[in-house]
Amino acid sequence: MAKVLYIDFERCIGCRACMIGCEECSGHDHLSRMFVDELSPGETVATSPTPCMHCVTPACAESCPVQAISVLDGVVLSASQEKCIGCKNCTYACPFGIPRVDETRNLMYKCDLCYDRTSKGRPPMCVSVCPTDTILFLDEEEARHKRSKPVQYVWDFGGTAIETRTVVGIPDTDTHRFGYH
Amino acid sequence: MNRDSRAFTSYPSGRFVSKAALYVGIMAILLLLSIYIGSVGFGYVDLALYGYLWATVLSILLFTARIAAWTSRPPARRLWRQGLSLFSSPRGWMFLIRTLFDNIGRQRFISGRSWQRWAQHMLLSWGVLVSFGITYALVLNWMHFELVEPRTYSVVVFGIHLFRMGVDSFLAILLYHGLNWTGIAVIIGCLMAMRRREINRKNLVEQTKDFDIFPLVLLIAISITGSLLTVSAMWMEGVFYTGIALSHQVAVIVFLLYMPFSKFWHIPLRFLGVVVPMYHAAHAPKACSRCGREYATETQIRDVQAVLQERGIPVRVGGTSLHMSDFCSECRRVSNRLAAAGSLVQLEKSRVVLQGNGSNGLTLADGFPAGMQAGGAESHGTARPER
Amino acid sequence: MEQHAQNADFAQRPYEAITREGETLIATHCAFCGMQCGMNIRVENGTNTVLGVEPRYDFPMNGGRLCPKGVSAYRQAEHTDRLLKPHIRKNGVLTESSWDEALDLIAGKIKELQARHGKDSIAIYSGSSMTNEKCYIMGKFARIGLGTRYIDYNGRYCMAAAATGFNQTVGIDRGSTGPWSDIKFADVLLIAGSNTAECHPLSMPYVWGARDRGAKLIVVDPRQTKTALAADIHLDLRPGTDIALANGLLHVMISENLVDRDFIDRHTSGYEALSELVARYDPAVVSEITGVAAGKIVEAARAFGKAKNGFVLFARGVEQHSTGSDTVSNYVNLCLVTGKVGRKGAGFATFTGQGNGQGGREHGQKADQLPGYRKITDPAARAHIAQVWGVDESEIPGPGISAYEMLKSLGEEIKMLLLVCSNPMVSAPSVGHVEQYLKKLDFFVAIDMFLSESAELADVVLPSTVWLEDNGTTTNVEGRVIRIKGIDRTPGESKRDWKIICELAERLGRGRYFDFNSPQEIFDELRIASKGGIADYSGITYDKIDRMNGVFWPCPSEEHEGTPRLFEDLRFNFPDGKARLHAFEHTGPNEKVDRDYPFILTTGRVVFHYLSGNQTRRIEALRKLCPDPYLEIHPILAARYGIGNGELVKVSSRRGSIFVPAKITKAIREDSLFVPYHWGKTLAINNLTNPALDPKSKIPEFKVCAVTLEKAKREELPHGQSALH
Repeated sequence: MAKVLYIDFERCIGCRACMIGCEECSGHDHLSRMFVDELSPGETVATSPTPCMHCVTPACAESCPVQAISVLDGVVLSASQEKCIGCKNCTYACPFGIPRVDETRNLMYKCDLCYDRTSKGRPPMCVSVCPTDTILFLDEEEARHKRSKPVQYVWDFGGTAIETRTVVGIPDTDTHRFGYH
Repeated sequence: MNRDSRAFTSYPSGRFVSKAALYVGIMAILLLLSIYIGSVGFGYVDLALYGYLWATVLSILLFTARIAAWTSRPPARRLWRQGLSLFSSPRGWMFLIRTLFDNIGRQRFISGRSWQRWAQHMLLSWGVLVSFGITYALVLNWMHFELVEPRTYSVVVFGIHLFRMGVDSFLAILLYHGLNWTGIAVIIGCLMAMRRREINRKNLVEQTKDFDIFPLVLLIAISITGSLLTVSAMWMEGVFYTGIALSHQVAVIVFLLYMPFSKFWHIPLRFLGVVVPMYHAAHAPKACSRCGREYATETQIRDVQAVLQERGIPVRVGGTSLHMSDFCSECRRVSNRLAAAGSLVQLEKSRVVLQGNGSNGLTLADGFPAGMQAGGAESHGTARPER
Repeated sequence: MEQHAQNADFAQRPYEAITREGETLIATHCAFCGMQCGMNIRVENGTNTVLGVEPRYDFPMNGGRLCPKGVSAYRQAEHTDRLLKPHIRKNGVLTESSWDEALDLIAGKIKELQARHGKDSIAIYSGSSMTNEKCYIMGKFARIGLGTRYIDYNGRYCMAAAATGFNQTVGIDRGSTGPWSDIKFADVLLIAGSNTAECHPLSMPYVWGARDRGAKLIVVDPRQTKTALAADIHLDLRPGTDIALANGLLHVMISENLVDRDFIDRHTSGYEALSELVARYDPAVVSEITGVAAGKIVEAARAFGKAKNGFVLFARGVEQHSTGSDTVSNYVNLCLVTGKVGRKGAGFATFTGQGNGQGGREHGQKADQLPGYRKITDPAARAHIAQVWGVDESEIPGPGISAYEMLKSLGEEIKMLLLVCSNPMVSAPSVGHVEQYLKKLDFFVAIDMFLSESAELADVVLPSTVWLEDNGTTTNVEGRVIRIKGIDRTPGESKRDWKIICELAERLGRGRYFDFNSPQEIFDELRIASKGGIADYSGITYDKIDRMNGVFWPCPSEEHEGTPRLFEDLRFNFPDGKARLHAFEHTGPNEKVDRDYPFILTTGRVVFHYLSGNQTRRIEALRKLCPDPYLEIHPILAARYGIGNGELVKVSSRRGSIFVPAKITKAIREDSLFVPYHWGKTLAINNLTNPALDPKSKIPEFKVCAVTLEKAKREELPHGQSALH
């Protein structure tokens, strides 16, 4: 069964090991494709990682003028190096804020779910290194039916439904059983 | 492997077919006209190049169809239109010339990777581009040489005698053997490219065999057979000439027909890429509707929103006129998380407050007024680089 | 790989590492912190070039997971800042030279100074980030290579209070009473003075493991750290009031009868005095002292007291105080009065800060200690070690003095210092004074792989190796002895520390005691030396470590499989087998706030840097994420001083001042300020810290000092600092 990323961001300690680990995956050219953001700096120390959500209908690919972004076995890939013209449309179209353009090479790059590792049956680097299991690599069904938390994988953006393969756990604000207060 | 780089929702196909037919028709007429003029009323058609001629015409028409298909996609069409606007102002022309020089001339975009890749790409691309120029000019009979004096050629372009040169002059050798020089450049470039792939086997996802190695092999085949023609003619008294000529012709025809659907498709994309620097620089900046940081141009955000709208997947914020693309990347990521955690999302520059919409998107928060235009006039954040 | 039963409940994962063509994986451990996470280093065949890191999914402690320091640790191996040749100060400038010239110069100086001023004129200041083998050889070299009593190490700033606290309460100092997997089975976790999430990130799977099973998490910390964020109860106490807080918890548990009387009677002594003392610490009183709401104290005490199993975990936050060792003992008291020790899910532990903070304090580089955790003053211990070393007992000098005391006395009896694996110009308290002390030396030698702030001041700097260029063993936070493996290459002319010491001994005519050709030979001697001691390694072999993924000491024979959990028989290491319940009055920090210095400054780490930052500040990926120190300040306090986010603030104590940009955050108490300590020179917060020592353990009071602050004026900015933010 296909495996997907599952994010339980209440466990994130903001250490950015995933970002540095991402650089270590061969084929990533030492460019990190992960993000870790402070959620409300100054108020709390909460942070969250965001990998590519691997949309079923990727807005990044739809917005690409040169059809450089393709999907391989359900994984949305980085733009093809030969086609990408660095226009940045994808960086704006993505509702999750994932694609980036490398200014020196004028190339878009993003999470490809560590193709080098996952094609060999190993978890991606971010999952491999994450010290707190904030990022997990689970069977899609397991991720979508977490018992510990409600999850998000279908997103309603003002009437447009976008289904993602990456699953995000939602804090349980009633019991806080598997998260923080 | 299941690779999928098609459009993700379907297009109305009727419109596309009629449009493509129109463009192909226009292109066919233009080609015919150019051949007629170039060959001075079909007077100078080089029959030895007859096979090449049809392959070239077919290749150009296929290219036209592919470009028609491509430009009918909303994002490409928008960028094309931005490109056309370049021609309407002196500043646009300046940009055009500068980026043509940067991107096509010295190919700065690839020098950021490594100087070897730059050298390799320069050799390959210029080798191929100049070869194209010479081949098209000769095959389509746009240009030919006339022996006007026993030891002097006249160069005729579209029926006009441009200049004369001695048969043994440096210029003549340069021109006459033009395809040999470009062939050598292409061979060196191809060998460098293959060597890099061997050394640098980095499992790049796109580096699948059929997609990547075949074009190199094809280029090498063309260059080598082409060079052998010269070798055979000049030093071997024409031994094997016919066989070599035939194999060269086959390789070139395969190449011409394969081109619009292969790796070489990126060549026209690169010319569109020339538009991008202007697109990014010549428009008013757009500030993030949440944090105020300038992260894009207003024109491009409008284009992206229109494109997604046309494709039927606008990503909006409920209860407002905002799209997700009105936020910078970081604010998009953070807003999604805050909403998931049940927190309010404050837009610092307006007084709008958002909350989760209960189905994983954003919407106007209960009890807070709307009253804000997307990318409104209060954009006055300071420019910070995208993180 | 088949896991030994001791590793059953750990965090390993069922994946194999990826081995790529043309590469070899070296299974080793991270250099940064006492967790000693397993990792594979990718090495290019033939050239032995370090290429990168690959997760070691099968190592029990971390199962391949790594923090950012771990992921990027290998990047110091091929680093351009590495010292590649010995340097000698000539005309005031450190100049490249040959090994012969440098070692001859050092040996000559040692002989000359010892002839003139006596054996004790030479001192060694070593470190705990070295392998057991290196730590052992430093102690041995001081005692019988140089014959000096002056040796101490930087663990004095780190683990000394925990060691002393454990010794006075349970009679044995092993960082954790149980294997780390025990934490997962606790019903309550009390984490005090540890920002576990940032300083020992790989402990978090265990903390979450417990919490997912329904355990309550109590975090004692003045800051809302990432760890505190995950807490059910966050006791945000005023820095320096831990003893009072623990007394308050004890008070509630005793008065509500949540203690285990049976356990107390049978396995402890001193309960009467303890209960008498804590009777005065009711929640209201404690709330007044600590600033923690009384209700939260009661809630925490009940949560801890009622739980069947529980773990108390603590770190430098409670230890780096002038009452550090007593604070440790008082937190251990919480476990002892409730009988939470000696079984799965119950026990106490300190988070070892340094890579080999545990092993480094066991084998004789402490001023008063011989290998195997033996006392240097104990005649039997001296006799045993003298016999192992092949010297007369009288040749082994007596006890020396602690690290900071030693620095302070430089130039008096000590004329020459050999600094190894340490950077006191960043890590010592009141660093402004340390530079003055170092300048009083006749001769100063530093061994380091990078030119640290301290090495910059040396007369001779010898280039050593990073951890993955050597072999050996370390002992992790749990007391598990593991193997460090490395590549068979050292860059330039650099040499491994133990090799340098052996060559120096040879030049001093003591070569016959230091005739080692590999770390394994040193380890085999260490095993014999530690035999019969408290930290008994005699049954541990390199093969056994590989086979079992680490062996827990004590391991007294080759058949023995090590001791993952201490006190399973509920006998503590005193003649009567009873743990000692000591009672402590709250006295507060050595330096209290007053009108001139009205705020409490506390210091600590960030997840991106290790200790003095000599390594991590040079790794671009880490430096980028945290390039400079900053001041955590509460918005109310910032507003009072008109300080905006990112603006430079001058923070001053009685000892010095520093300019740092403000980071305004509600994560810090209103009366306190926090600055991380990983930087040197004008960016060193240790310019301000208080060198007051805990009289028992001699750990300095890094965690509390009184400061004042003001918004920096433009013209005051020291050169180069205006670019800070």
